[in-house]
Amino acid sequence: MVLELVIASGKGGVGKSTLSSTLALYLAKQGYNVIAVDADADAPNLHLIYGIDRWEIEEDYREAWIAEIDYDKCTMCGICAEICSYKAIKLIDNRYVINTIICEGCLTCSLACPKKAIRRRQIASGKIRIAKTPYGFPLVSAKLNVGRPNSGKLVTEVKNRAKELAREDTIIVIDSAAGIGCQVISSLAGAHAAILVAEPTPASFSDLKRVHMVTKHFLLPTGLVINKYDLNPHYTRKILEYAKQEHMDVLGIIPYDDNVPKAMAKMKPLVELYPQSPASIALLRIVSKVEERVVKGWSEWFREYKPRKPVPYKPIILKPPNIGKG
Amino acid sequence: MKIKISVTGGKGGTGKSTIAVNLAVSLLRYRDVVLADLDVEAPNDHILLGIRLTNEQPVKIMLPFIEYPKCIRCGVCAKVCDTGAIIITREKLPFIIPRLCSGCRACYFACPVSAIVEGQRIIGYTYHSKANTIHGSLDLITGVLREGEEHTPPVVLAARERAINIAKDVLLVDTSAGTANHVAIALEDSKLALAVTEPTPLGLHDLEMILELTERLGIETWVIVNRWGIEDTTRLEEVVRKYNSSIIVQIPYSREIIDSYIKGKPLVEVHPDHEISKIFYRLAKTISEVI
Amino acid sequence: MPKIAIASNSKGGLEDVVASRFGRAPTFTIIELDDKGNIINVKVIENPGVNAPGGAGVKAVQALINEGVDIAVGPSFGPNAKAILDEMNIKAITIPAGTKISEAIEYVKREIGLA
Repeated sequence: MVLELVIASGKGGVGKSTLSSTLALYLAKQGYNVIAVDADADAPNLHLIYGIDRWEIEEDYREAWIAEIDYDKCTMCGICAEICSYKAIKLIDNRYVINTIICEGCLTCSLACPKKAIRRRQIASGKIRIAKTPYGFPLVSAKLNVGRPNSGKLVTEVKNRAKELAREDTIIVIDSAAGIGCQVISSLAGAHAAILVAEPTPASFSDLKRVHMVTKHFLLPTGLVINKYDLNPHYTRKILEYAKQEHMDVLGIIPYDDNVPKAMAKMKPLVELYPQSPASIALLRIVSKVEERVVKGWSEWFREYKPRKPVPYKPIILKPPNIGKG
Repeated sequence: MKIKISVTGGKGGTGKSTIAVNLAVSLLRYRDVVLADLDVEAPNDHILLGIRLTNEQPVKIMLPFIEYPKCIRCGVCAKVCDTGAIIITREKLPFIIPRLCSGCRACYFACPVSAIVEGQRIIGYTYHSKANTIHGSLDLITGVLREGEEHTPPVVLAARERAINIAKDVLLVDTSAGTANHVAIALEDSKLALAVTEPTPLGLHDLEMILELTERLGIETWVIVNRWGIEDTTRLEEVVRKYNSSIIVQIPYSREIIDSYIKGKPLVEVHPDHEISKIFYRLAKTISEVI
Repeated sequence: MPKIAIASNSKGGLEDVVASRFGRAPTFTIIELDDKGNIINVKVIENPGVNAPGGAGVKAVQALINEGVDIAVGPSFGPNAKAILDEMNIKAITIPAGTKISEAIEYVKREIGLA
C-alpha cells in the first residue's frame, strides 16, 4: 500500500521542511522506496535543502483561466465590476480593466455580461518540477506563479504525479504549506496520516489547534513534533498537555540549534552535514520512531491514533427566505 | 487621505507579524494607525499584542439554493461550476455541496430559468479589537478563516474593507506569507510594501518571489532583513538591486524579541530603549515622513 | 435488488481487490444482486475522479449516482464523498483495502441482511 504522510503546522517557519526532508532522507537510507513532495507551492524550499539546482522535468500547469474583456463589444454597463466577488475589475481611464493577477477565473463575469463581451483564456498557473535528489529518490515540487489563486488544484496535481511514479510499497512524504486553506486541505485530502510541527509560542500553539481541527475533519491519525522546545519550556508543556488530551502521538521534541540555519545556507540536510548536532540527534530519533510506529506498525498505529470522536466539517448555512428544502 | 502600507514577505516565519505589530505601535507615536491582520488562515497579531478578539462580524459568501419547482433539469449549473460543487442526482436534479462552493455565482447567472436563489454561507469572521499601548489605543482588524473552509480570498477582502472603513490616516496591513492571490489582494493599493526576509538561501528565494509580485502590482518596496548576522548578505543585495528596491533596515537576531513574542507584548513596549526598539522608532519616523 | 459499487484496485471485476482509495480508485466494480443475494450482473466502470485536479470523491459519487447505485464500498471515504452519499441515501460501507471483491460482496450481504 502506498503510504502518504503529510507534514503540516499552521504556522510558517516552525520546521516543517526540516522534518519532512529529514524523514524522506532517513526512510530512503533505510531502504524504503520514497518520494518527496513539496506541496508548499507558494514558496517551495525542499529543492534548496536537498541541493538540487536543475530540474529533470519542468512543466507548466495550465488548468487555470482568466477572463478577458472584448472592448469591441463592451458597452460600459459595469455589471462585471459590480458582481466580481474578488473586486478584480475596476474602471481605469474610462475602461473596465480586469486585474489578471487577482482574477480567479471563475468566469461569473462572462456569464453575467449582457453583451457576451467577456471570454476566457487559459493560462499557466504554475509549474510542476521533478528531479532526483542526490540521495537517489525523486522530489516532485510545485511552484505557483506569483499572484495566482487555487493552489489547491496545483497541489493535487503534484500529488498525482508522485503517485504515478509510486510503486505498491512507496512512502510519499508531503511537505505542506503553512496555513489551513485550500493548499493545506489539498495536501491532507487522501493522506493516511499527518505529522504536525509546532514551536513553543502562543502564536504557533494557536495555529496548531486550527490545523489540527482540519486533520480531525479528515479523520487523520496525527503525530506531533515540537521544535525549538527549549526556547520556552512552559509553552512546550502546554502543547504536550494538549497533545495528550487530544490523543496525538508525541513523536519527539527538538532543541534549538544554530546548525539548522547553517545547514540550510549550505544547501545540505542538517543530518548529513552536522550529524552529531543536538537537533540532528533529536530528528533522527523522531524519524526512526516514525519508521517503527507509523510505517512498520501502520495498522496498530492507525487504530490507536485515529480520532476517537469524529468532528465532521459542518457548513454554517443561511437559507434564503421562502425556500423549501435547499 | 488614507495611506496603506503592507508588511509582507514570501517565506513564513521570518518575523513579519512581530515587525508589523512593533511598527504599528511605533508609528502610533507619530500618526493615527489602524493595523489589519490579513493572514486569515493563521492570524497572530492579536496574540502578539496580548489582546482578545472582539466585535465579531461574520464573513458570508453566496450559497445557491435551487427552486426545484422551476428547475428544468438542464444540468447547465453543474457544468459551469468551477469547483465541482454541484452534482446531478438520479432524477437529474442539481444538488449543492456547500463546502466546495466558492460563492462565485456562475450557476446563478447560467441558469436559463432563474431557478437559483441566493442564500449565504459563513466562511469566517472579522474582528475589531483595541490594544492599549504606550502611545495610545491601537485599532486591530483581524480576519479569521473558519477551519475546514478552503476559500481564503473573501475573508481577506472583508477584513480589508472593514479596516479601510475605520482607518483615518495610516492603514498598516500584515499579509500572510507566500505569493498567492490572497496576498495580492491584501497588498493591492498599498503605497509602500515592506518585504521581510532573512539572509538565508530559503529567505532569498522567497524574497525574489515577493519582489516579483510587488513589482507586478506596481508597489514600491523596501526590504527589511530580519535575523541579520546569521549569514552573508551579498546575494541578497544583488536581488534587491535587481528589483530596484533597497534594504531599509537590518534587525539583528536577538533573544529579547523572541521573549517578547512569547510574552505577548511588543518589544517596543517592554523594552523601549532596546537597540531594536530604536530601529523600529527610526523606521516609523522615516515612513511617517515619506508618506 | 441492491446495486453495490466497490472501489477496485485495477481492472475491476470479482477477482480484483478493494482499492486503497475511494475517490481515486481506477475503477468501480458494480454488482447487482437479486432478492436472495445471488449475483445477477457484474459491470466495471472507469472512475472519472481518478485524475481529477480536485473533488475526486465528488466526481466518483456522481458516477455512482448515474449508475443508480444503492451501496458504495471503499476503504474509507473523504468528507465530501461521505456527505454526498449520506444526502443521496447511498449506504457507505468501509472494507479494508486489499480485500478480494468476491469476499467484499459476502461482507456487504451480511451487513444488509442478505447472507
